Amino acid sequence: MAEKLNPELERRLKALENPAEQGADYDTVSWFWLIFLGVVLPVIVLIWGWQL
Amino acid sequence: MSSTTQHHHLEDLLEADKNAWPLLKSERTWGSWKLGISLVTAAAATWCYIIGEYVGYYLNFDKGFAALFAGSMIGMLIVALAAGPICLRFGVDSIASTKPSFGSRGWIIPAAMQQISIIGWNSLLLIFFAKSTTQLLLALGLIADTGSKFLVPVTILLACALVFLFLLRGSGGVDRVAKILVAHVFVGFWMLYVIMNQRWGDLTAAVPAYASTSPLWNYTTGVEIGIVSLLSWWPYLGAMIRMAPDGRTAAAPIMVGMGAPVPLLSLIGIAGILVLQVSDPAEWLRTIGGPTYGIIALLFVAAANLGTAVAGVYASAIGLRHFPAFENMSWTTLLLLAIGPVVLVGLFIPELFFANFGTFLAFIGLAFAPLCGIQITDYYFLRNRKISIRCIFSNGDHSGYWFTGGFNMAAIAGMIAGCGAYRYLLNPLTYESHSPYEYVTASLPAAVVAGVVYALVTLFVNKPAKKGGY
Repeated sequence: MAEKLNPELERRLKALENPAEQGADYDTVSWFWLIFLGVVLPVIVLIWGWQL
Repeated sequence: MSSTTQHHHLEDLLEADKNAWPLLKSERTWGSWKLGISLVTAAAATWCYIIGEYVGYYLNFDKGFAALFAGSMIGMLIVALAAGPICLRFGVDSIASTKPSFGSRGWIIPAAMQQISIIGWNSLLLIFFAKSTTQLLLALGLIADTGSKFLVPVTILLACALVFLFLLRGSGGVDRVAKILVAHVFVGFWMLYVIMNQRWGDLTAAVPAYASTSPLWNYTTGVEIGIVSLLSWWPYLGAMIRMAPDGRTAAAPIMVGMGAPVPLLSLIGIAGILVLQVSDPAEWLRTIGGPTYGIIALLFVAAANLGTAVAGVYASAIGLRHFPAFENMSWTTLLLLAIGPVVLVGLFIPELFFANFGTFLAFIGLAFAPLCGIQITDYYFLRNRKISIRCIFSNGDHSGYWFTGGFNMAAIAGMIAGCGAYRYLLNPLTYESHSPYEYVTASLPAAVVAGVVYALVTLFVNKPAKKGGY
């Protein structure tokens, strides 16, 4: 049996099932920031800190 | 667009915002700067002092900063990869992002973790606020000693009332508060300058009070404190980044706005505990500079904590919305439900919380590290980034995320394995550890173990049984 959802929620789900209406995932620029700030920079700081 | 149409769009947005429904692309209007400022305001609070205090127990100023900074950024990356993609693609909060991995009913496990975590952090913030207010009024001679014990509960109630009022219109309250209160971050850096300028010699000569004989253990513990502190952002992240339209808008603000301020402001706590044996600047600024500095510190405490409490209560209320019993509850009542436990903790057991903050932090790591490991494994390796927004909001056994009775046994197995790995590596109550903790922390292996167990159960049990919509 199909679930009956709130009409407004149903409207939003229908819209978001279209990939063009979804937000974009992390792209190349995003991955650059994530990896640089989340991996590269912490490794550099850890090595620097250990030598202090 | 006519004003009537605009009004309807705004009302739909407000309804979706308060109902934890997905936001449409056109409604997600926060740019990188707006998101970054909101995230900074949420991240920069007096919990930074106590985080710094705990690092200062094991490491000196320089090493403490390095370990905490590295750990914080790693922890922020883990959270960004775990909850970020689904929240950004579909405009949903962190709890909704767990439904593909935990199940249509199993999300209640992360939801309970979220509520406990936010109650804990909000209680800490408001207790800090109340104690600082009391100390200052005592120092100024505005109240007698006998009056102070009534002031703490009154101040907590006042702060909760302010948070409630800010959030009556939903996430707009978060943005409004952020615009005003972001200035407190600069006051925080000024306080750091004061102690570094006046006590630099003492700071560089200070010896951490509880440092172990192993420098590597101390250093790794600083990293671990950084990681688990930022894992605490998991409950907050989705509710805020869902206001941004895509990953590119959000990635840098998440790392810089929510990740970096914590270690930077925690320097205040590290410096305070090393030099003056107290991390709360409201106390040591009076010592160094008299009541004037204390007043400035109090204003900073008030601004910092209110901003973060607003974000936390908002995330908590949105998380409660997922419970069927609260689906149709008024926003006002939902806010009261979110704020209520914080008031109770602040009124009846404030000292218990303060005294056990280190344990609270460790339990955050024990719980959220496996959760993040499971989400990352599911989204990137098992589902290949394919998510059904309809299944996220479907609650019956026809939903693709129903698994077994609404619960994903792979997630439960992963959580048990991850928590067990954490507990083996680091005891959250005593901070006793087992090798190889000193090389790898406790959070990182816990996340990996949880992810591996989750993947194995999914591949060998769920997928063959055609459960989970893979």
